[in-house]
Amino acid sequence: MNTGITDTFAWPQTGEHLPKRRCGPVDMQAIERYAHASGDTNPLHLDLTIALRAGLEERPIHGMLMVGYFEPMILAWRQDLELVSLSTKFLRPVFVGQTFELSGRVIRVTPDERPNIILRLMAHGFKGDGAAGDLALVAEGKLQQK
Amino acid sequence: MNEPIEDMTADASGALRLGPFPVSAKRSDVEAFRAATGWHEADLKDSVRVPHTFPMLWLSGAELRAAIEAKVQSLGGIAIHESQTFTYQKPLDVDRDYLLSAEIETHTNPDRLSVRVSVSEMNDVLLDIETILRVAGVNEPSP
Repeated sequence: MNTGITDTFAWPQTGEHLPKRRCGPVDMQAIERYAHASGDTNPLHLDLTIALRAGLEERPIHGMLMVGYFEPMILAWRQDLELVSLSTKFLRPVFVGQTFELSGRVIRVTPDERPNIILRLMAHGFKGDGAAGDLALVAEGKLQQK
Repeated sequence: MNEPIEDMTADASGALRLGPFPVSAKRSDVEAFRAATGWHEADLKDSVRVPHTFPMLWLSGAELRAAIEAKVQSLGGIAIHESQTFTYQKPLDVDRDYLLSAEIETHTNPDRLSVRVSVSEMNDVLLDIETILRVAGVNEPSP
């Protein structure tokens, strides 16, 4: 059976951690830049009055802004792999002025003809007062050899 | 009130189908997206490729956005982004044109919208996107 996993390619190992990446503090300029670039001008992210009306303490940064940071983090780790799928669940908001930290780990390498590297990815939000981070989102990414 | 939307139909399940609409991965848009999502010069070696989540820009196109906003309005609340999935069959390239088709389905208890989008080129589907939006009530402002 051809497993696709050859000795000539340095496959990631299950359990291997990606280097963490800390981003922010995310200011309104960064939020507006993402809103413009993504077209997501939902006032929840841009208008404090709307955010307060929605029961939030501040304007939340776009969840997809944090998700967008995963791909350069993955490329900085391995340029010979490409992201082919990414599925994210948003759990808690991260607010303007906070930082977020991305982390990831290889949870599976499938022995298929074209092997898939499955990553568990997370983003934690930090309020900046030394408090532990809150899990903001979890994602599963699938990578393949380029 | 949103303008009526052309190029849309509802099927027997009540799902609203839109498109296909032409979309484009313009280099200037891709560069702006990269700048907003933490890409550094060192990451740009493979710069002909469209960033994985760049098609979010197409989801905010006028037709699709108006349809989603009308659905959210009919449910009476604001949209909270609950989950997002991208599944690529082939990568997308900068400065290429594609076609986008969408299907919006409403679910109740709790109120949610599922938005399924496919991006294609020459009848080949290159990318499937699924967005789940929870529709939550908005508190009235304090007097």
